[in-house]
Formats: sequence, C-alpha cells, structure tokens
Amino acid sequence: MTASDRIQRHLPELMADLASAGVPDYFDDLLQETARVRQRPAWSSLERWLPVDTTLAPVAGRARLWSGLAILALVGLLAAAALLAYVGSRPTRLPAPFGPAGNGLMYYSSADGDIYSVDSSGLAPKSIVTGPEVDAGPLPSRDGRRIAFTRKAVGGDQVVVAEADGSGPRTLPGTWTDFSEIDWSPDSSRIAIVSSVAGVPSLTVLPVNGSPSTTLPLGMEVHDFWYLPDGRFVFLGVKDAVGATTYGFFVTDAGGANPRAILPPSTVDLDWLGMSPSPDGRSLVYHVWRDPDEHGRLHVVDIATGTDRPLVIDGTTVDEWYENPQFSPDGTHIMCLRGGGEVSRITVVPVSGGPAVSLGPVGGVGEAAPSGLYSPDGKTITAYYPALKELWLLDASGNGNDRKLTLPVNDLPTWQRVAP
Amino acid sequence: MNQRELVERAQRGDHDAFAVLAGAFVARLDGAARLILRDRELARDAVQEGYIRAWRNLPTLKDPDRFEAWLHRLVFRSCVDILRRRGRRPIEVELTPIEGPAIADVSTLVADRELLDEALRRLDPEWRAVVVLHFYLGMPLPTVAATLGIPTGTAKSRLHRSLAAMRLTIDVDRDEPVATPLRQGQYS
Repeated sequence: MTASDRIQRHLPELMADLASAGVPDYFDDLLQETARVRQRPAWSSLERWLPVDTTLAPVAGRARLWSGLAILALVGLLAAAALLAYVGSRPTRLPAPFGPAGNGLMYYSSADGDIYSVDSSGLAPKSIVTGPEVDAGPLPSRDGRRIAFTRKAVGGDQVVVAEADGSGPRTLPGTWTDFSEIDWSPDSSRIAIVSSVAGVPSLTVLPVNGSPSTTLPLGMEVHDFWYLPDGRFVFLGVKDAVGATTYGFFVTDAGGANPRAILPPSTVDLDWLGMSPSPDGRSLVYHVWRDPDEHGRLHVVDIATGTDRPLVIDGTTVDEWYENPQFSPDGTHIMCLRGGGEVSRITVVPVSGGPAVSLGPVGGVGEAAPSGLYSPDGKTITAYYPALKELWLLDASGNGNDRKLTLPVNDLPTWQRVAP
Repeated sequence: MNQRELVERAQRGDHDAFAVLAGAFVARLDGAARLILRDRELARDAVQEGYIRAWRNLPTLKDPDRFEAWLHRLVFRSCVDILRRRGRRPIEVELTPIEGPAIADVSTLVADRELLDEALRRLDPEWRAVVVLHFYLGMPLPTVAATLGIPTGTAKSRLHRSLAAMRLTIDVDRDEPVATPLRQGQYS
C-alpha cells in the first residue's frame, strides 16, 4: 500500500488530527462582539416578501358536473375513440428532432428502481418497467418512440433501451463506471454517454441496434455535452497540462475529430457552467461565477463565431444570481434559476434580455434548489422542488396557471416528444 | 432545551441561547477554517465574521431546523470572501501539535500527517475547502456545493482533482523541495 492509499483511507481521522479542534481561545471575545451587534428585524427578510402564499395556493377544483354535460362528454369520448382508431391505423407522424413538438407522456423512476409513465396532465401514472433491477433516469428519444434508462449492474451502470410503453427492453453492450450524462442523437439511432474510461471522463457513442460502442478520441476529459441538430457535439472539455488545467466549451463532429474551442479556454472552472444549446444549434447559453461582479450571470455565445454576450436582465441586484439556463423549444426565451439569499425561483427571460418573470413556489438554494424542464410545446415547465418534495407544472407564460402534481417522484420527469 | 428551542429563543434576542448554540459548533468550525485558510488569525476572522452575520440575521431565518447548515454556510462563505480578498496568495504552513492520535502507529501517523499537511497546502484554497468540508466535516457533496455556493458538479470535479493532486504530492514529490503553490493543485 502506498502512502497516498494509506492517507486517503484515513483522511477524516488525519484531518481531525491536523485540525486539532478545541474551543478556540477567542470564543469569549467573539461572544462579547456579537452581544454588541443589533439583530435585524424578521420583517426585513426578502423571503417574507415573496408571494409564497399566492403561488402555493391550491388550484380551485371544478364545479359540479351537470348531467347534460355528462352525456355530451360521453358522446365526445366515443367520437374521440373512433378518431383514435382511425388515426392509429395510419403511419405514425414523428416530431422534428429539435424545436417545438407536442407533449407526450412524462417518464420518471421511483425510489425502488422502477420506470413509470404518466400522461401530460400528471394523472394516472403507470409502471412500465418493473422487476428486481434498479432502473433510473428514463429519457425519451427525440422521435418519441423509445426510452433509454440506466440499470445498476456489477461494476457500474448499463444502458437499456425500450419501446415508449416500456416493452422490449434491450441492454446495450457495456457496463459504465461514473456514468454522468446521456443524450439521444438527432435521428434517435444512437445514444451518447459520459462515463469514466480508463479513469478519464469520456464521451462514448452507443448504437441503439446493439453494435459496438465507440469512445471518441477527444484528447481531453468531457464533463458535460449535448448533441446539436446536425449530429455534432458541444461539450465542456477539461485538459490537464503541465502547469495548468484548462476548461472550455468545444464543438466536434459526430466521430470526435478536430474538436474546436468555441471560446478561448481558461484555467477557472467557474467560467464554464450549465451550458445548454439553442434548438437551432447555433448558440449556447451558460452561466459564470466570476470575480468581482459576475456572480451567477448568464451569457449567450455563438457556436460558429465565438461571439459572446452577457444576457442583461432588468432589475438585477448585486446579490441576485442566475444559473442552469435552458432555451425554450422555440428558442425565444431562456428558463433559469434566479436566486438571492437563501431562496431561489424558476425564472423565464427573453433570449435578448430584458424583464424576467419568476414562476411557481419559492425554492431553496444548493441541494434544495428547484430544477426545471420545458415541455415539448414550450407552454409548461415541469419543476421539482427537492426541499418540498413537490412536482409542479408551471405556466411558462407567467400567468399563474400553475398546478402541483401528486406523483411520488425523486427527480425531474422527462417528456416524450410527439408530433404536434 | 433542544436546538430548535434555542434557535427560537435566540431569534427573539436571547443572546445566552445564541452563546449555547455558538459553543456547540465553534470548535469544528474553527478547525475547518484553519485547515482551509492555513492561518490561525484568518480562521478567527472568518469564524467571527460568520458568527456576527449569524447573530445579526438570525431573526430572518425561516426554518430553525436549518440553523446548523445556515451557520456553516455563513462561516465558509466568510472563508471564501477572505480568500478572494487576499487574491489567493499562498499562506504560511501552520503545523499543529498531535493531540490524541486516532490511528495506532504513532510514527506512521506523524509522517502521514505531515504528508497530508503538505498536500493540502499545495492545493488551491477553494479546492481545499471542498476537501475539508467533505472529509473533515463529513458533508455530502451536494451540501458542500450548497455551502460554498458552487454547483454540485463543480464540487465533485474539484474533489476528484484535489485527490489526484494530493496523491501526486504524496507519492511523487514527497522527497522533493517544496514547490511554489499555484492554482488548482499545480506546481511550478
């Protein structure tokens, strides 16, 4: 056993020994100091002035159903069933792989490792992949016909592909360690993942037909990536070099040849956070945490030219921050998390900047911060609040038609895209 | 009286209740601040700054059960502020005496402690903070990220790189002269 093995094994004890913690001799002085400070009144907290009560108000239920309307509804249902039978006999129309689409099912995994689907209203969830295996992270293909998810295996995770209804699951070749990212190719024939290959976070492409996978020879670590509409990749690459580790956004073709830096790489990891491409594949939105005055600020960069611009949001105070931006399906707006102090909210801002609209309940920060995802039609944002353990469908227009779902989710569900 | 009751009393201005709460956490917070900042006086400044902020803003804390995490965040944000004000200049190594070794072989412990001390010293301070919060205070990485105000992925990446850099220091450079610390665990 090497010294580093031994030290790493006993790191907590050694650090405790090194810290040699005891009550410091300045503790009494510290208390005298605090005793001289006046407390801030509770009413001065920002948290008290955000419209928590309004956004958390339950949605009013429907009034009583009149019998005449019930008969009409029954007739309507019969007509709809006939229409569905007719449509079902025709070839299925598929959505375009990028841009707005119709809202299909939502998919999520349960704490005990099963995969569920639920309709876009969030009612009547149905288990579609069950069994003793621990499955997680269902992600529908861009054509909406299949889902991919991970399955725990000895030595790591496997990638499983099934039909949209969960039938016919097939495990793709390979077991992956430190699995962290996944995306479907534009034509839904391949899945790309980030995992550790020979100890290096790498981008690997897995054909859905079960052919052997290919790890792209990018010459750097990959920490985040997306497919672009033309089949290329954008990714956050990290290069270890003597004297400096550099970080940057890169674009490369489908085979991983000639990766090109979109912006000059830097030695600061906080320059490159939360990237997400536009639906047309021309630009990236991301956030930075730069000293002294760009703590949580959004930027948009042109992938072809590297022209970078900060996204200026009206009324932003020094203490406010924005992170994890994401384009709307039509590319006109950006959803992000807006925070300050101990609270944060899902927020939407025009892609050109300007006024921001905050949506839904107030969330926490850090691990308690909400996460959001646009529905394929762009009209709704699914938002998960880990501290509240609540899932909401937020009205992306900001008109307040928000609705809380009662689904036993542990994370944010993903959407199936269907033809509009 | 449980912690929640103490927090509620302190929120109403009871400084004695605050003193009890402060005393419960100050030893480990001071230890962690010294490990991150590598300087006893700077650690004192960070803890003092964090505690003053905590006392001043305590009435605005909405959930008393979050007091401990909130206090941690205030103290470690003060550490980061101090690091940024100092522009990440290297700080002198501060070795502390051994008190009550936790592992059996004392000579090995002394050697390992010195190796660890050197490996920590060479890390970029903001990376060192991730290592200290995770291994010394036992925080899960999402909590480390929340405490330091960085994304979880960044905390994970910093921890991974810190451990790799520390292994390099311990296994390769341990008999070499001490290099000048640069950013992010690299060496001149």
